[in-house]
Amino acid sequence: MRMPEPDRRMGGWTGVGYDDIAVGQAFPPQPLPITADDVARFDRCLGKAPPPPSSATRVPSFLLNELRAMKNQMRFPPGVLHAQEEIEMFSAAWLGEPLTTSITIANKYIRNDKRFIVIDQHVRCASDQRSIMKIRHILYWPC
Amino acid sequence: MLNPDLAPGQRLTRPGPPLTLQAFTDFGDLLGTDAPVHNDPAYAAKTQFGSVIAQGPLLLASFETWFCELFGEDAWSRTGILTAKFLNPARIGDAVTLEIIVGETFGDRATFELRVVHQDRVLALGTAAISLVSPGGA
Repeated sequence: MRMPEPDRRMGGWTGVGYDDIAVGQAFPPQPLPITADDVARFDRCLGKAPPPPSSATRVPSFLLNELRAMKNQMRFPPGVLHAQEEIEMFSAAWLGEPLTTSITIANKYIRNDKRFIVIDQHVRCASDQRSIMKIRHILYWPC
Repeated sequence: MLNPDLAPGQRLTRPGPPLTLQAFTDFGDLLGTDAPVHNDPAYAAKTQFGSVIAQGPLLLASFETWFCELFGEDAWSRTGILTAKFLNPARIGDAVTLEIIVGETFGDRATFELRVVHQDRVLALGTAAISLVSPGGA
């Protein structure tokens, strides 16, 4: 297959390139701490008035749909963009619960002369290993 | 339909989140989607987009709130599924609209089409599904 030219429109070469990403690579669970301030700040991003925080506050699933954990493992090149998102819910996460996220590089492919990386994340509650949600990010990878 | 107020083919709309530099910056900081194309106007001006753009997931996040309002937090948290593709960027000040088109119900599973639009541009397209089953079983 012909490799597309690197897309450097959003910066020079830094970070992990497509060729160096290993499909199947899995990273151990990482803590996913969420504070009441995070929930309030997230709500403000959506134009919502945050409710008073309590242990009965459900952590929004889109606040757990994050890339920080992945970026702790791999430096992204400039120009990575979300192409597609998939989330599947299993149980609510409550404020104060010890959450973790596990990451796997599920796939990579070239389509229409563009590179894509597929990253799967599984969010669990560490205290009872309850599944909270699964996330699939499909990211446009520039180079 | 699981919600008696909804019928297949019905189209629901509501405004999307306010698209501001502060929202892009905070969202990026919280979620790690903090590339400069989302929060650095000088950098973004030199890219193919010409200005900062919203993170795709920021455009989708309000659907969760909406489904929780329609079906309850419990149903969403246990059974919600959402998939979306990002087609066009959204910029500061764009007045985006979220759309839910009610689909068919299969057993206890209701399905939906999702759209995020700005004027005549579709920014994101997706689907969602949710069930109403008691935690103890069917």
